[in-house]
Amino acid sequence: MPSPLIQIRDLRTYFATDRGEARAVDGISFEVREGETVALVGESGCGKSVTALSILRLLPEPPGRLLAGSSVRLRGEELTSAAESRLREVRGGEISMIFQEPMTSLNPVFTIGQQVSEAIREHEAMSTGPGERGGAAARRAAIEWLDRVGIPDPEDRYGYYPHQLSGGMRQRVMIAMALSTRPALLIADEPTTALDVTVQRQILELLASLQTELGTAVLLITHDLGIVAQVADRVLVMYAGQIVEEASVEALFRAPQHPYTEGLLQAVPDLEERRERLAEIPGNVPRATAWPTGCRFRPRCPYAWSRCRDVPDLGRSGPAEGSSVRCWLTDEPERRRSGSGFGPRSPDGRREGVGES
Amino acid sequence: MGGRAASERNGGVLLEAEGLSRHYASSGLWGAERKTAAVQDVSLRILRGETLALVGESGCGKSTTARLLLGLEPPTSGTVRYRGRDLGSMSRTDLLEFRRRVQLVFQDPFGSLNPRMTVGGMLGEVLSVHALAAREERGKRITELLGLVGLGPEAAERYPHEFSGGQRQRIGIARALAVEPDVIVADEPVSALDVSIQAQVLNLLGDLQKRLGLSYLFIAHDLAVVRQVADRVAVMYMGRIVEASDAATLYHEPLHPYTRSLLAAVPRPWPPSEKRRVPREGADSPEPREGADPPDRSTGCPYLGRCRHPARDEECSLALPLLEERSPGRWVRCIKT
Repeated sequence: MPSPLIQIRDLRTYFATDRGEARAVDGISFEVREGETVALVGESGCGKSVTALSILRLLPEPPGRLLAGSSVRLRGEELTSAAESRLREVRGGEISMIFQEPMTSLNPVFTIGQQVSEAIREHEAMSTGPGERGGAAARRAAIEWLDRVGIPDPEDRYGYYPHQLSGGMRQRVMIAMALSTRPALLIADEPTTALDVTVQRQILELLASLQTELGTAVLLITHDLGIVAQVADRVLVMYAGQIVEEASVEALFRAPQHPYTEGLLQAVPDLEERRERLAEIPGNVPRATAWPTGCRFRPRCPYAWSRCRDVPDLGRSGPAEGSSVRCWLTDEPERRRSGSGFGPRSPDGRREGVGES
Repeated sequence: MGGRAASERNGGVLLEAEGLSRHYASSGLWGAERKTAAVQDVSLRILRGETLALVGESGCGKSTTARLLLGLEPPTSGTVRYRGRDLGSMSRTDLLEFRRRVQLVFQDPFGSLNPRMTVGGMLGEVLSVHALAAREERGKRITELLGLVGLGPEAAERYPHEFSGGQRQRIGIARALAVEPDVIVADEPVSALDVSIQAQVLNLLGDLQKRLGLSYLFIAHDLAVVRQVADRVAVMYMGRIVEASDAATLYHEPLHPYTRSLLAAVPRPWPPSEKRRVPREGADSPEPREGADPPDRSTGCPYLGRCRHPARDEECSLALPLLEERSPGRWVRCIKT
């Protein structure tokens, strides 16, 4: 089994807000191994993006703060206490990041070629000292990268400004910038959410092929379970600032263990078939300033009982190897069978949906 | 207006577009005028109690079509008819009636809710403008409307910012329902919502349709969401309808290469099949990457530049394919299928 590339332990990121302290990320632990794709999935406000930003220490502090005891280790090196100069090396060096809207991370007054070659030069200056490679060489490398990410006529497009490109093309430029420095880990935060479905597919294909070629590990942050199923090796499901389930992608989709995962999978409309009704997760996503006590999913959970007033830990292993669940049902699985679940039941009493095959 | 009787004579057609086009002229910096056709020759019918979905990628003209159908902007050519009457020549009273009966629900209702007005105040205003409830009955009607969309009476006292995204969408729906519409045009009504909330709103829309006999024109880019709500689906590409049929047929046997490509691109949550499920970019990609799309093809099939149909050839570049009815209710704009 590959060694952990990055290891996160008990990460807590809180924010000061007018409503009080928001416990956006509240004690999460996971690791990403060399070359694998881990999906961090959850709904808005669950803390998935804050997790990514916390890893790279990209959050404004204040109002944010990383709590003592939080640990982020990159190949064993602690990043939470690293000097800012070291963090600058890591960002865009060992760890790169791409975002949902590339326009916000591209500089509108420089051409895309200048920005890619700048990323390459900056990184080389850091690793080998300045002057190793001249402007012309960086330009050639940038054109090579634009070609590699599928920008047509890269020599010509080198001189284009970001606004002259479509959203999909801009995301390709971001990918070129992020991967040209050959990072060990790419953090991709909803990289295709703003794109049309056919373009999304192209971008996912591009990421998958470059990832294999370069051996990059990917931490993919998404709300889209379809994308998770197609690209991830392992999945972390986040709810209310915590990881509630961790499993291989096969295990998660075949037999989701946490009621939240179960509800999410059943709430997604099915392309093949119109259902009488979709399963609903009742209620609303809670606010980070007022997480429910006990199990945080308890107010929305159809199986909740008295024991759920106590906080379950994530150490509870699920049925599949390497999986873990933050839910008391693992001790009393018969409650799931006798419970009503989320959705309508088919006439033979089996619940409709994806949980059974 | 002719009302119900007229629409029954009409085969239950409530809202109808015929040969609808909308061009925008943009004068360039140096005076050269360019014409963009946002919608071209769109014809469709919305029947009583059904859901017609308009799908396509951004910029395909689906939202402009909705605005034309709502009379929010005039078509460059073509007509919109409500219960058989041409919108362009309606009397003022008929037009007011039309504006009441055909309502719009937005993607983000927050932008259309007055932040300084309580939900009850807002609904009360709608009721009084349209003289739909006497003052003393307004409170009762507001409670009833909130109940219809699954909100308690206490919601009337609160302001929009106090609600979550899903609750705001419920308020937007309540406001549309306040005027007793028979057609609701819903433009991406759930695309800003989380999955768990999206399911609630889709179920609500389905329940309301059954209960009130509403017709929906449902505009969305998410094909799985559309599958859940639509009776019939029209697929738009570059301003034109390229395929239309009943939903089950369209999803199970798509004919137009664009529809096929759209459906093939949707990432499916189940089952995750073999390892590395996203295929490598290459031969089995559904389409050449964007950017390979030829700009402004004046003759021939507008989809040709992206088309992967094995039978595509020179003939496709000769003339714009017609939207033909291949079997009853099944329309395709492709000469090779």
